[in-house]
Amino acid sequence: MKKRESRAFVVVGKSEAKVDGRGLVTGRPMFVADVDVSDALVIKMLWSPYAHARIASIDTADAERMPGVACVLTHKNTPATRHTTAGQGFPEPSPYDARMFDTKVRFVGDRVAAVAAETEEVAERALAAIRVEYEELPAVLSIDEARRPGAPIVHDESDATGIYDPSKNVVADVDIDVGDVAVGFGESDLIVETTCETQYAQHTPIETHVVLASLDADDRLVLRTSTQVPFHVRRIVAQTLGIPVHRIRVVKPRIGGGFGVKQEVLLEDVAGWVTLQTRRPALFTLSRREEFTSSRTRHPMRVRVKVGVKKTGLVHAIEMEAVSNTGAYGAHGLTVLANTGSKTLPLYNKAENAHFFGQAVYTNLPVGGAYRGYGATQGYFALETAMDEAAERLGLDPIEFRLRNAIRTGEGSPIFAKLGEGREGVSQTVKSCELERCLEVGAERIGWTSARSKKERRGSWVHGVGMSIMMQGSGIPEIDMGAATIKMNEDGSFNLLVGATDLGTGSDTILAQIAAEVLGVPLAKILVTSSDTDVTPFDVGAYASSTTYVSGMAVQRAAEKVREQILGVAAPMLGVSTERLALRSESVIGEAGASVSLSRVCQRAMYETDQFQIAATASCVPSESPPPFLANFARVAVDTDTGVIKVLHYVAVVDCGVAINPRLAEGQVEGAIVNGIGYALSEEMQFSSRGRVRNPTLFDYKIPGALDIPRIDVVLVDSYEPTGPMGAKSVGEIGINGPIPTIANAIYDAVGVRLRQTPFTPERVLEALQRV
Amino acid sequence: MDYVRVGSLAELGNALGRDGATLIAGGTDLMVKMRAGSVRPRLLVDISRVDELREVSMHPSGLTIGSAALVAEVLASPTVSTNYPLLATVLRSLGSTQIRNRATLGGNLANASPAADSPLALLAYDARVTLAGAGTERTLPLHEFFLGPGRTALRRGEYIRSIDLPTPRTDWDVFFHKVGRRRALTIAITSVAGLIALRGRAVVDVRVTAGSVAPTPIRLRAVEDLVRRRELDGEQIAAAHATALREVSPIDDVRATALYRRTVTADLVARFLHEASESTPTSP
Ligand SMILES: Cc1cc2nc3c(=O)[nH]c(=O)nc-3n(C[C@H](O)[C@H](O)[C@H](O)COP(=O)(O)OP(=O)(O)OC[C@H]3O[C@@H](n4cnc5c(N)ncnc54)[C@H](O)[C@@H]3O)c2cc1C
Repeated sequence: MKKRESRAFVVVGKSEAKVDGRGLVTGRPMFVADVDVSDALVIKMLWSPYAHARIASIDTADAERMPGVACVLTHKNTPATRHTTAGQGFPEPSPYDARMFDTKVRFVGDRVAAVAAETEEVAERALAAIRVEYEELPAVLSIDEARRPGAPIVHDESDATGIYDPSKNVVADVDIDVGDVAVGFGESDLIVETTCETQYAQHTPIETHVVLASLDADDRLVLRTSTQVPFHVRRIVAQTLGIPVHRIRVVKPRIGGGFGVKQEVLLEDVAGWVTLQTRRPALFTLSRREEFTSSRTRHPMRVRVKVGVKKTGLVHAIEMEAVSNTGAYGAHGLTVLANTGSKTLPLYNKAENAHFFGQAVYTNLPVGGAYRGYGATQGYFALETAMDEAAERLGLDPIEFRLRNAIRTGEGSPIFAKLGEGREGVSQTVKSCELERCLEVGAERIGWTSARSKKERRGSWVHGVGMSIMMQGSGIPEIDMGAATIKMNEDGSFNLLVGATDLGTGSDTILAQIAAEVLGVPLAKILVTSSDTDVTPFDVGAYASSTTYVSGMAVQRAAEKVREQILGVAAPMLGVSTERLALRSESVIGEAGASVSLSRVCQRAMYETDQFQIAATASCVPSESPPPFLANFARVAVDTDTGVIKVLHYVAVVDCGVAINPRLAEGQVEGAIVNGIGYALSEEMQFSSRGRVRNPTLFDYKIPGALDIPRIDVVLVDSYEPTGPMGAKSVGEIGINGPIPTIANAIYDAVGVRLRQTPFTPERVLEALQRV
Repeated sequence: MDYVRVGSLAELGNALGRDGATLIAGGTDLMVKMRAGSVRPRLLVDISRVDELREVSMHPSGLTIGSAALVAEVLASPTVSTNYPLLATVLRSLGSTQIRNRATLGGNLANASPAADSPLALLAYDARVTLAGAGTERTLPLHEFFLGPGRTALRRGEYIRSIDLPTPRTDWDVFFHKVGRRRALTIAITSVAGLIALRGRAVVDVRVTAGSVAPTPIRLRAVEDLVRRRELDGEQIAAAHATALREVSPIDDVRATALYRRTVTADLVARFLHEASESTPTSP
């Protein structure tokens, strides 16, 4: 395998400062609401107080008459098009079950009506003046209630499409087979079975959803919005409002985090409609409370894993059954479910028999959506718990057990072809996998052999260590597309225009590094413009761990085309043919030291001879999705008096191919681990018996603080992915899958109990210890 | 809404006589409630600049803390850390640095949350509060000040002037443990504090307090009476554990169940006594 030595990179592989870092830390106006919004109407939404009800009547006359109210929107005066809010490739794999405003509400926090007014206070008062009569319906508030025969039907409307079986509340159904698991289990020497459940959790980006709608001089609708998917926003808003795509421009400025929750069109349709109706700019911002109750969440799941293992320590059969709660609408319902299998099972490719099946079901609870990890997180909890148990029962060290069973370079898995983005997948062979090295480095860092099974006690605290492994993907093969345009300026700088969406990840920076590497210029000479549908080429957006691999490859190809054009101009200047030229240090270098500067080349092309704009556009639709790999290790302390878990040390060793920017790659993993520790230990949306979120504030929904975070070592191992741009794979999502199984396995090592329901609150730990 | 910042006790007395007057010190409880709309004061009387309310002073009969003294100021006082280490320990876990730089002891008491931190130490040290009003002043033991969640003995027009702690024993060992969903900026699911003076294994004196397990922060007097002047052995600790289980009356809420609170509070009481008898503090 070619390793890094195959290229001596100049800009790639360096921890360059973020290209937008200076503006961000000096507080320049870069976010959606940082522009002058003083003349904008303020939009406020009336949310459903019921989990399930029909709107019998709605009277907005008093609200409309109030001074300062510009308009009131309800199901009576807005388009009725069914669509999905999920920003995915077209046609979307999510059902068309949402309407701007419906005659029925399906969860506490569903849309009822919107007011646009001069001020927030007026808007609030107008909301209070809207009189709604509801006919309350029986609600389904859990997976089991949704599946009960005769259960109330969440989507009984006749115009919804793409729902697997609305009469049974089933949004999606997946069932794929490799070999025959029944036979496989029969041939196995050991069977391990476990069922794990995960909770409702919210992404809590520091910036909640926000959009500013306005009209430009040509009366086109401009949506300045906090989104991960600007091109999907344009398409879905056009579809929902019934206006042509060319009448909409979507601008994505800097974004204060997304983690998947902004892969969704939640506000733009309403803000756009208000602006089209009133011809006034309109600002719509979710409060933190609304972000919890009415935006999107991680699909809670119940995942059962059954593993059959031979005496040789080889996994022979795996069955995984997943039931996902998609809440009141089916956004990402099918694809998150499918990823629970497709992103986990190929890891254990020695199993000749595999079966993945499951359903996503509707409930009258908040809506699931895309959330970093995208189903894999839920799947790995059960899978890596089962593998830990299997290793133990075989008397094998869990690391050794993983080494015997995990996929390796040069190998494939039939699952890759069987299961993709809610449909058949794409066959592939893994071309880079340094999992063995990841395990080796991680075991050493955590002190595995000296700490394992020691159950060291200090008073009521007991220590343990645990581990887990995982893979993810890099984009969605044969579906995702990214494109990039590069044009040259006469001082030897370049504009890089990408539809790829930097939401704080640093993707603008690494895309610029790739361009700079190809073009032989320092990073400062690449001027990045990202995500403006009028200006930048198409990109599906920031999701599925795709930006580095897919958009990065588009940038590399565009830069290569531009390089060819530059060499073509320079060749007559240096009097040699293009094959003998190279780009280095902002110059075209010929033989024997002859060179010409890039600015001279561009001046010639712009002003002098055979004039043309040096520029190119290139696209990438990947034909595979190379998985990054991760080995996790954690040392935890369990307080057997109180059930409190303290993570003492976390080690994450990652194979993400070549890290284009090592510091940013580490940052992605660190952030994901912190996010995952919160999900493992404290974050949980709780509901009343009537489906109301009981803790929709950061006061009661506990994300980790600095004191909760242990020392985290992120190690990037040397790796090179031959199909990736500059040898890179993805790194954005994988880290979040680690903490739950790793901490659970460490708790088991310490106190001998397996936790099967997240989060591992003090109370659940004591329950598992059978103390309460 | 009106706002006045008073500069002296006399001005404060006048302002409090006005209709709908509400005191504000650090505002870390009040502003949260105002933003949520659950409190709508007509007149805010800001006491944060009244010097007389900010003193922290040691005198022959003990310590006096002005009600508007910041938690951070109390923590910075060497007198407090030397003579009242349990108070310092407890206050270090109140909120975060930012909160401690605004929050006051008077606000923490007047807010009367069953989960508040400072009362655990103050009750253990037998604190008294001085309440002043239009021309009146009275003092009462802190445990008589708390009447229920959000309810205190303060009458209309009255304010907390100071908190007084008697001179403490010099041989107290201290214990404090707060269980929350995370380590900083967290509301206690349950918390236990204790003071204990031992001669060998014999308990000379003991104080045990608990938060979030009753309508107000409480002293566990039955536990105290059980172990005072007894030898601390396994049997005695088990009896204290059983007594603690009975002495608390927690509820279910969004943070935890009553059952969990009861169990863990009793466990923490046992841990306190056990650590004292072994003189080994527990840490992960
Ligand atoms: C993020 C956050 C974290 C927190 N964490 C903790 C924690 O860990 N532990 C904890 O115990 N608390 C915590 N609190 C609560 C709060 O900070 C404390 O209760 C604080 O001590 C209140 O003091 P204050 O000066 O800010 O009170 P204010 O908000 O100014 O006042 C609170 C109440 O007391 C009244 N009041 C104030 N001073 C007087 C007086 N002298 N006489 C009579 N009435 C008076 C006010 O009218 C008001 O009703 C937290 C609060 C926040 C916002």
